[in-house]
Amino acid sequence: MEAVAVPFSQNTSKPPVNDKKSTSSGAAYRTHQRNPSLDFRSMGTILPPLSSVTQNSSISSKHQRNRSLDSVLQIIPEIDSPTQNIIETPLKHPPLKPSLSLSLEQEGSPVFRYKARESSCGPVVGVPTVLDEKIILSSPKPAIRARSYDQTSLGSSDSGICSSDGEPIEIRARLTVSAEYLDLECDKPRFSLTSFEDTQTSETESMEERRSDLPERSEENGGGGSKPSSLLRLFECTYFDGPMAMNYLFKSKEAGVLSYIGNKLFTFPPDEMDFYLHQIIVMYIHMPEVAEVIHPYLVLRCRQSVEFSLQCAWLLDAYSPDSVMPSKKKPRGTKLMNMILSDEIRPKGSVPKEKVIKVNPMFLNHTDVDESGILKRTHKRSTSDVTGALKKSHKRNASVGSTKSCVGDLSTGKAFDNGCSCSDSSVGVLTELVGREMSCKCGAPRLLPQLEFMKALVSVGKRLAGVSTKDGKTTRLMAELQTLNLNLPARVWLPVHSAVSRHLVIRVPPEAAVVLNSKDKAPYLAYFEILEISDPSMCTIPVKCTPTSLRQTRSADNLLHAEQSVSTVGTGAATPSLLDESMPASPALHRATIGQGNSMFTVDDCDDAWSQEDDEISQMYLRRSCSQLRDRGDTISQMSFESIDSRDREPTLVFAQDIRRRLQESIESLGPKGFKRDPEDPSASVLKVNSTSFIFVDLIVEKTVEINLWFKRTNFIFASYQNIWVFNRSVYHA
Amino acid sequence: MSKRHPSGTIKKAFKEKVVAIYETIFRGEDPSAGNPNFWDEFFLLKPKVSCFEVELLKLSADQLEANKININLLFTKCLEMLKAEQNIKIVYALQTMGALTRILYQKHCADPNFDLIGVLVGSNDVDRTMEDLIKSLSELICADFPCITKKLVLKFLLVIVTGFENISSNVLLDHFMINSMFDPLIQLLSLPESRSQFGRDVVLLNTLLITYKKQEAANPYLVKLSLVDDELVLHGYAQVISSGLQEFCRKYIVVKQQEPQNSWLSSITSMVGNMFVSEEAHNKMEKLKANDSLLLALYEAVHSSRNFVTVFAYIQPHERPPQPPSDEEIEADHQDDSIGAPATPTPTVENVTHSSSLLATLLEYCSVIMQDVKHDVSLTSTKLSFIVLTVVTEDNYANSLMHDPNLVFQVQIHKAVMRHRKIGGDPVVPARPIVSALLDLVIEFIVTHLLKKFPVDLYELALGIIVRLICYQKRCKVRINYQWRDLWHALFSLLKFLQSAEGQLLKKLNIFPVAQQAINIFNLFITYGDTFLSVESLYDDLYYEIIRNKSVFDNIYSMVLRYSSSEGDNKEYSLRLMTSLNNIRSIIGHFTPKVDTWLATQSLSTPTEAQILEVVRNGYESLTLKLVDNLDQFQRYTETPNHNAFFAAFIRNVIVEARAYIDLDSIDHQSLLNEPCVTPT
Repeated sequence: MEAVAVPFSQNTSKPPVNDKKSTSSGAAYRTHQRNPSLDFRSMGTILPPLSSVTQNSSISSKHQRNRSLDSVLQIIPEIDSPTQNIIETPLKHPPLKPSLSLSLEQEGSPVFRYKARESSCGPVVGVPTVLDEKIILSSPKPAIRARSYDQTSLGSSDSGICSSDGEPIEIRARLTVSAEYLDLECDKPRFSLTSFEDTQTSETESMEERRSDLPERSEENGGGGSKPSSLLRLFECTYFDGPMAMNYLFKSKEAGVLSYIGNKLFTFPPDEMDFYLHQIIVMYIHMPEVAEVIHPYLVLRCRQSVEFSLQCAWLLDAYSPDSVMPSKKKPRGTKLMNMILSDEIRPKGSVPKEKVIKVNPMFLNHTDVDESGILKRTHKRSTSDVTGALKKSHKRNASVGSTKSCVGDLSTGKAFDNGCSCSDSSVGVLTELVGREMSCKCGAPRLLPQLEFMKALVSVGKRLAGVSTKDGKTTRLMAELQTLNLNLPARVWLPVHSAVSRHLVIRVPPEAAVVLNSKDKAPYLAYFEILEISDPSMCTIPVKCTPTSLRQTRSADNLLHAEQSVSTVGTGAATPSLLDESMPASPALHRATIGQGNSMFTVDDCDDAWSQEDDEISQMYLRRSCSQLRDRGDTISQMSFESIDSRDREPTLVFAQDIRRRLQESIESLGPKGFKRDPEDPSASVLKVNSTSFIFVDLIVEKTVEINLWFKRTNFIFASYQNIWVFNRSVYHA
Repeated sequence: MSKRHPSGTIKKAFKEKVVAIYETIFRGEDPSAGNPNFWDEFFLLKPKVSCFEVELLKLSADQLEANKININLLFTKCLEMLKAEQNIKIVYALQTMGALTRILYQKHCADPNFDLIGVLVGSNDVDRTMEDLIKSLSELICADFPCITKKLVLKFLLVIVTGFENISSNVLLDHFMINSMFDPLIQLLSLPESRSQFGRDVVLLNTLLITYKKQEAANPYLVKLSLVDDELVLHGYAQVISSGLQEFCRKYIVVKQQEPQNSWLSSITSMVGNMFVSEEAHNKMEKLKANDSLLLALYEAVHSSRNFVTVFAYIQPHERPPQPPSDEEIEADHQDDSIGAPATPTPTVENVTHSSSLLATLLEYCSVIMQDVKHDVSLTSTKLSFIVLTVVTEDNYANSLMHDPNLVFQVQIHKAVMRHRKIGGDPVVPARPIVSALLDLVIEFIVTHLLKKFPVDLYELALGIIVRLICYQKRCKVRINYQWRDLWHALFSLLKFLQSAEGQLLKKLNIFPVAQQAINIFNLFITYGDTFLSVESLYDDLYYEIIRNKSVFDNIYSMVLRYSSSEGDNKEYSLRLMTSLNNIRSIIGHFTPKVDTWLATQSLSTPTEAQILEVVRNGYESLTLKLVDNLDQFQRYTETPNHNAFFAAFIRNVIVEARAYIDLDSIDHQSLLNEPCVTPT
C-alpha cells in the first residue's frame, strides 16, 4: 500500500455506455480474461501504436531508440508479474523519500511506473512507455480487490486500444502506414502550431472554439509547405483518440507535435481524458515540455469542474517529489496546485471582479490553512515566498469570533458551507422552483467545502489513533461522525466513483460505522448516505431530514411512490452501467430486489422506523383483518387482539411446548447470521453482515457507498463500494 | 465617572454616591433635578445591589405605592439604558433593574395585595413597556454583546420567572407568553461557546417558562420546543443536561474513591454516619436539588418534543470536542513519521473516557441518586427520572436506539453498599446497548427499595419500564443478549417482600397492582418468550426458576385467596391477581409431580440444576397455558390526572432552588471596564 497514495480511482470513470468503441471493449475483455495480470493489460493498451512505431523504427536509423524500445515491448506480453516489469526497467527512478507517495520498491503493490525523461539520447533504452494504470487497492477484502481489477480492465477496454483481433487490426495497419511517413519527415517539425505562450493567452477559449480552430490550423500547415505530413494525417484521422494522444504526448520530443496534441486534447471527451489524469499529472510534473502544452488544457478543465480541480490538486500533491534540496524555484506542479487550491482557477466570467475581492478576505484564512496544510508535506523547507506569506496570514483563531468563518469548524453545523448565497437569491429560488439547476455566481470558494470535508474525514481517523481502547475508539468514532453529521447535508461528495455516481453526502450513519482492526492504516469503515444528483456543483443542497421526520413521511403512499420512482430510476439512463457489469445485478434485477425489499420489509425493519401513530394504525388494521391473518405464524398476538376480556369468555389456550418450539425455530432461523458482536473486533460483525447484504432502511438513502478510509499522510485512498441501492429519488426532487 | 455634581445631598461623609442617590430616589425626590444628564451619569456609577435592596426593603408596601412614580421612572430609565451605546450602562441598568424586580417580587410574596406591576412598570401602557423590555432583552441576547451582558440578561429573566413559587400566578409572565423569547434563548444553545456559558440558565429559563399555565392554555414555549428540529439546538439542549448530570456523577465517583474500601467496618460507620445528616450529605442534597431543574428540562423535552429523542444517542463529549489538528500538528506528524505514532494530546483521551450519551448519563445519574433511600428529595428525583424513562421507553425510535447492538456505551450502574451484598468496587462494565444498562438499573432499584415505607409509585414506574421494554422486544422481535435471570430474581424478592410485609403495607397503600405487574412480567416471558428470548435454554431456565421458587407463588396465592374471599376494597384487585397467577400455578402444578417422580426414580434428594432442566425440557408436553389478555398492552403515560400534583411540587422546588442561585452582583468589573475599548458596540 505504501506506493499508492492516490486519492481516487480513475479506473472506474468510464462507463461504456454510449461509447462508440464498444465493439473493441468486448475483445479487450477477452484479452483480459486470458491475462489477468494487471500489467499485461496495460501493456496491451499501449501496444498498437507502439508496434507501429517500432516497425518503422527498424527501417529508419534515426530511431535507434525506438528499436530498443521495441525489443522491450516484445518481451512484455510474456511478462506476467508487475515486479518483473520493474526489473526490466533499466533505470530506476531516482531515490525517493519514503514519504513520497510514489514508489517503485514495493513488490506486489500496484505501481505507477514513471520514467524520468532522459536528457541524453542514443542507445539509452527508452523505458517502455507504459503509463500504467493505478489500481487503488485499499480494501482489506480480496474479493473487492478483485473487483477493482475488473473495473480497471473495463475502463481500459473502453479506451478501445487494447490489442485485439477484429477491427483494431485495421487501425494498426493504418497506423503503420502513417508512421512510415512520420519517419521520413519528423526530423524537422513542419507543424507551425501555436507556441505555449500563444496557447496560454487563448486558454480561456472554450473547447468548442478550439475544436473549430484545429482543422484550420492544420489546413494552414498543409498549405504552407509540401504535402501534409502523415503524422498530421494520423492526428487528424478519426482513429486518433485519447490513449494514442497520451502515448504520443509521452514519447514525442517534438515541440510541434506536443503542442499540436496539447491542443488536440481539448477535442477529446473529458471522461476519456479523466481516465488518464494520473498520467497527465505525472507528465506535468516531470516533463516540462509536456507540461507546457497541457497546461492550458488542465486550466480549462479546472475552471469547468470543481471535481477535476480537486483531483488535479490531490494528484499533484501525491506525485510531486519531495524537494530534498531547498530550491529557489517552486516546481511547476506545486505552482499549479497552489493555483487550484487558492481558487484562482475558477469559471471565467461567472464572477464579477470586485465581488471576488470582496468575498475572498473572509475565507482567505481558511483557504490558506488548507493550502499550507497540504503544501507542508512536499515543501518542508520551502523558501517559496508564497507559502511563507500564507503562513503569516494563517490566523485561524482571529477569525473564530466572526460568524462568517465557521468553515471547518464542525461544531457550528456549517463547516462545509462556503457561504454561497446563490440559491437564496430570487433567481436561485426561481430556478429551483422550475426544477433547473444553477451554478454558483456569487464567488464563494468552490473547493472549500469538499476540502474541508476530506480533512474532517481524515482527521477523524487521526483522532481515533489517539484512543487506547477499542471501546473507546468505537465511542469516539460515533461521536466524531455525529459531529460530522451536524454539518451535513452539504455540497460534498466522496471522491471515489464520482464519475459513476454523482452524489452529495447526506448523512453518515454513526451506528453503522466501525473501527477496523488495522487500526493505524485504516482506522474506520463508514457508510455514507448519499443522494444521487446530476451535478454536485450545481444542484441545491437538500434539506436535512431528521430521523423523526423520516418516520413521519413514511407512509403507504410514500412506499408506493418510492417503488414507482425506483422503477424510473432503474430504467433511466442515470443508472450507472458500469455497476451492472461489475456486479452481477442488471438494472432489472436491481429493481426487482429493491421492490422485494419494499414488500418484504419485516416487522423488525419497519418498527425501527415507525412512529407510534403508525403502530396504532397498524394495530387497528390488524384487528380488522386478523381473521385473514390467522393462519400466519404469530397467532398469539393476534388472538390477544381478538379477545377483549377473557373473563367473559373461555380463555385462549396455548401449549407451552409450542412456545418452546417456536422459540427454538425462530432462533434457528436466525442461523449463523447471528454474528455476535465482539467488543475486541467491532468491525467483524458489521463486515459479516455486509457480505450478506446490508440494507439501510432509510427513505433518503439512494446509494450506500462503502468506503474504506485510509489515512496516509495527507492522501487518502478509497475503495470498494458495494450494494448500491436506489430508493426514493423523489424525496428531494419533489 | 467620578465627576462630582450637586444633585443628591450627601449627608454622611463616607456614604457612596450611588447609595445616596438610591436614598434620594426612594425618598420620592426627583434625583434628576438640576442635572439633565443625571440618568446617564447614574448608570455609569457602579450599582451596589445589596445596598439598593436593603434600602428598598426598608420601605413598606404603602411607602412603595406612594413612591410609585420614582420607581417607575427608575425602571423606565433602566429600560432606556438597555439601548445605550456603552456596554457598561447596559450592565448597570440590568443589575439595577434585576434588584428592583427581585425586591418588589419579595414584597408581593409577603403581601399578595401589593400591586407589583403598578409599582414596577406603572399602571398605564404596561403592555407596551413589557413588549419593549422583552424586545430589548432579546436583542441583547442575540446581538454581538459581551458575555457579561448576556449573562445578566439571563439572570434578570430568572429573577422575573422565579418571582413566585407558584409559577402560574406570576402575572408578568403573561407578557412573556405574548412576546415569545423562545427563539433568542434557544439559539444560545446551538453554539458551543455560548452553550457552555449560558446553557444552564437558558435551559432552566425555558423549562420554567414552559410550565407556566401549561395545562390551561397553549404555552408558546412548549409548542415551539416540540417543533424544534434544528439538530444543533437539540444537541445543545441535551448537552447542557447531560453535562450537568455527568458532573454530579463524577463528583460522586471522586467522593466514593476517597472512602475507605474496607468491608464491614466501613459499612457500619457509614450506617452510623447516616443517622445524622452530615455536612457532606447536606451538600449532596443541595447538588441534587440543583440537578432537579435539569431533570425537569429533560422531562419537558422528552415529553413534548419527538425530535429530541434523536439526540439521545448522541455522544456528548465531556468538554468541547478538540479542534481539528492544526497545520503545525500535521507538519509535526510528518516529521515524526519516522519516530513512530504521533503523540496525541492527553485531553483527547480523557474526553473519550468521559463521553457518553444523554441516556447513558441519565442512567448512571439515576443509579447514584436512588442509592439514597432516606431522603424524599432523592426519591422525588428518582421518580422524575423514572417518568422520563417511562416516556422514553414508549417511544419506538428511542427503543430502537437503546436496542441497537452497534450503539454501545459503558454505563456504570453504581450500587449502594448493603450489608447482604459483597462490597467490591464497581466492576468495569463492558460497553453494551443501553437497554441492558436500563434493565440493570431497574433491577437494582427493585432489590434495593424494599423498604418499610415502600415507594409504591416508584415500583409501578419501574415495573412499567420493564413491561414497555419487553413489549417493544416482543413487537419487534428484538432478542437482546441479557441475563434475564437477574430480573426474575429481583421479581421473586419483590413478591416475597410484598407477601411478607403485606399486613403492614396494606394499611397504607395498595400493593396488588405492583404484584400484578410483577406477575404479568412473568406471564410475558411464559407466553411470549418465543418472540424475544435470545437463547432457547432461557425458556427452560424460566421454568426452572419458577419451579424452584414455587413457595413464593404459593404464598402469594394464599394471600390472594384470603383477600378475595373476604369482602373489602382489595377483593377486586386480588381477584385480578389470581387470574394472572393461573399460568404460573399450572406450570408449578405440571412440573412439581414430574420432578418429584423423577427424583423418586433416580432416588436422588439433591438434584443438580442441569438435571432439573433436563426434566423441564422433556416435560413441556401436555402443559397448556392460558393466554392472559392485553398482556402486551400498557397504558401510555399521561401527565395530567396522575402526576399533576407531583409536578406542581417539583416545579416549586426547582423555582425555590433556582432563586437562591441568582446572583446579580457577581460580575467581573475589571473585564467590564476593559470591555468598551475592545468591543465596538
